[in-house]
Amino acid sequence: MTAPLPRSLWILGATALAFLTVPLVAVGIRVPWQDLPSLLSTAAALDALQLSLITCLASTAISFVLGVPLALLISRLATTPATILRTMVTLPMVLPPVVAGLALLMALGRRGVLGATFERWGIEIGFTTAAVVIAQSFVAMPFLVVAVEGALRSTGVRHEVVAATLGSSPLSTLFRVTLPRMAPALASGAALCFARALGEFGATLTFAGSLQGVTRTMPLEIYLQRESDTASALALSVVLIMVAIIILAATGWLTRRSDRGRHAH
Amino acid sequence: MSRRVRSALVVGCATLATSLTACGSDSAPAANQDSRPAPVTVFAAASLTTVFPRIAELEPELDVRFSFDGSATLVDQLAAGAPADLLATADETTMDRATAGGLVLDDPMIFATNELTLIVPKDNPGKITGVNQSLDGKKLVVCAPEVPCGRATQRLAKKLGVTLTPVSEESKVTDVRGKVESGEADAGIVYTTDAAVVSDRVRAFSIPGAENVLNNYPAAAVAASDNQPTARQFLLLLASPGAQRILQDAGFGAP
Amino acid sequence: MRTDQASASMSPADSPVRAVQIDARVSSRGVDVQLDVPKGRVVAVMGPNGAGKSTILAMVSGLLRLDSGEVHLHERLVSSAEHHVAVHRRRVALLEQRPTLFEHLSVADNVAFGLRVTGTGRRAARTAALRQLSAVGCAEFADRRSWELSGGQAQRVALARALATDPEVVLLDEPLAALDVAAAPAIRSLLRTLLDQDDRTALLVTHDVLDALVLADDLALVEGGRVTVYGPVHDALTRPGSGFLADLLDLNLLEGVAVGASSVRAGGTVITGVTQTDALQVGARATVIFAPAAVAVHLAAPGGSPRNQLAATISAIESRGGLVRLTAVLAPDPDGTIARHLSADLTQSAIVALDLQIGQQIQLVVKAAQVTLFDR
Repeated sequence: MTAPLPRSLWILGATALAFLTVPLVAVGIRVPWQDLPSLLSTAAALDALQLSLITCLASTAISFVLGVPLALLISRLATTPATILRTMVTLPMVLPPVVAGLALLMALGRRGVLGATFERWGIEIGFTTAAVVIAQSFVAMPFLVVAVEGALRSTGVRHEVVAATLGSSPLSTLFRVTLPRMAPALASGAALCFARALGEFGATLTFAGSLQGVTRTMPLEIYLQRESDTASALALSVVLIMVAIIILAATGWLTRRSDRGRHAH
Repeated sequence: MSRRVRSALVVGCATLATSLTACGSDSAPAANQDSRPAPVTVFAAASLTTVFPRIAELEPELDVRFSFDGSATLVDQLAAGAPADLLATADETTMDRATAGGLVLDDPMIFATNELTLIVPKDNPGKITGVNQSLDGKKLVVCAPEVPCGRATQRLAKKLGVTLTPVSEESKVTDVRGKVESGEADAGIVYTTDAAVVSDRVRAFSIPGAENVLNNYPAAAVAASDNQPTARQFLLLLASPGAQRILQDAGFGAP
Repeated sequence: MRTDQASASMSPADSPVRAVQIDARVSSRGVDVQLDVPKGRVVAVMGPNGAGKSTILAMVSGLLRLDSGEVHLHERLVSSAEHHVAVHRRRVALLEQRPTLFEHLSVADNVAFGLRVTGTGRRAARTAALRQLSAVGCAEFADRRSWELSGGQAQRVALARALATDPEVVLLDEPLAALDVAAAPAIRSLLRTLLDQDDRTALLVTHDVLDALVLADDLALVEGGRVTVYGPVHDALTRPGSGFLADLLDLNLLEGVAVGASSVRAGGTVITGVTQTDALQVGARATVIFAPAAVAVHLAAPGGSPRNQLAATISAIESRGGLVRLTAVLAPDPDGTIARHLSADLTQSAIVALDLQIGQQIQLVVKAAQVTLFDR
């Protein structure tokens, strides 16, 4: 079945596509491919890559464990409170990253609202890897919450009600019905969250600092390398782009696979 | 269409980041042939943000437009074809890159120097007394060795024979200052000019020997500029007593 | 009205176990319901939209909390203002319009679900699920996914899943309403078999009088949040006084005895029609229904064997929109017809052409294809 689109749409659509892809293609053209292995095997690059992967996994895990319950709670609320909560949750997602970093500093910094208390208890967050994970979780968790909550709300609770009448306790229903049915949304939410955490820059820089192997993730390393060595910055960028492509492709594939039968009923 | 306008368009499409600067500074016709000197576009290091406009005011008939950014960013932009007439960087290493790439004429002029200093939050929670044992176990923030102030810090530490163990190496000296200002860090090493800006919120300790690792600020005319006479005019202005006074009031040292 | 309801809510038959007892109010929904259902009875819950039918199911299933009153299931208190047994501890099964199968599980795992979550081992649950799937005629689909089934198959699987847990009460919320006309009769018949064979107690919300007639023992009419009529289906349907039932039952209904696989002796004659369930058992009680619009009026008996003819006397003629509703009383009947009044919808011109008058003797003629027969 085809429904033809106006011809003029093609031109605008193609322009948009070019606008979105040409800059990334340009990176691919300019990157010194033959030097890539040596550029990427420096201690600084390897440390940054390793730190990025570890912190992003950690922040995605934290976002999952805390964000999925929040999404479930919001999805069961009435429209008005749900809208209010959703707006509050979405805010870190749309804030300029530096603002997110400042906000974290105001809350968890040494002289922050909570940070001052933590400091008295001997818990120091600033300049640690934990601060990186906190910054990433702060900006990335909303992606997961919004994705999962939207999916939950659109499917409703019919399956959960049926499960209950079949004798399934709320906990058992959560693990046997809700979460498995949500698997595609959970996967794509987690992937979005991971991708956002991977790209997190401003909040980390402002809140966590930048030290090789401790707080200097890939984007910070790229930012720093750019000051002295553009080739190295480009090489690291290529790695980030590759990881992002892999994540998005895997998510699309997973979602399609488990979504196949959704339209049958 | 002039070469500059064309190159501005190319840059605009190729690198979004620089296109805004390029279009903004190039909105006037390029070949302005009347009595007034043609406008001059100056790419200057971020640390010159407050002083350069004041220097430009010394010579009102000069039409100067500024683009302030990190020195390395400016050089990258020049390499990508951004239209500028004059480049002023915060250190010689970065200027050397521009010179080696043939981006500027081969005669950079040192117009100012900057000295490193140690700053602590006003209430000095770490009880720091200078670059000495009082820094042990404290949260020290410095610039990364990849950037001018970090290179200077490294040289100074070597001269002093101390090993610094910073908790963070920032890409921008303003980020070092910010972390000390907010109290996140116990101490930071910045330029005296940066310390001067926030003198009400930080305390500065001069570092003995810092005068031996002065950071030089070079400026040079851009090779691709079609407005070199005006660019030279601004260079001369930088060396004038009036400009030097403004620079020194801001904490810069004489060349 | 209160006394009227009290009598309406009395149990229609004495039975040792009362499977469902409702005497409860939910003010936000304007519902105030009394209903006692003995074990093994199937009660059709009918009434206008918004009258509170689904609310009654929700009170029983536990999806709704009460403001006051009590709900007992098998004489165990499950709901009151202070006390609320969670849905999953009530042993009620729910089958709705849509099958709501779990897409992430196979058909067999769907049916085994209720057993698995209540602690039955994997193998035992699967065996029970396969048995239940056979009972609904879907054994061959055991390892398929729900989206590979037709609407009718999916509803059969949902029925199997609901019954696999051996529920004390089965709640059926318009279970046939979303099925296409081709699939509904077979599933209606299956439902009846399964409800009968295990002596299930069920509440069946439906808008289709055929569902009530075929599946239910009793009928509860819900109007304005109250049960206004409650009793054996045939009694309730023929009881005068309910405007809703009159509209609902805009059907001619005769009770008789089967004399063949698709013929029933009723109204003083043998009526041939289409069976809704399996072939009729000769000698069993059977019900005949047909629409007033399907009835033609003749002054004398016409020829032509496939037509059913009933001798009657005109008792009323009234205009109804563009048509004329003619009501006729059947001639006295040795078989004990339950409804002596039959209706026919005719055009104005037919009334004039035949010169019909009240008190006139006429023949009511219905084509066999427009007559529905079922046993009970």
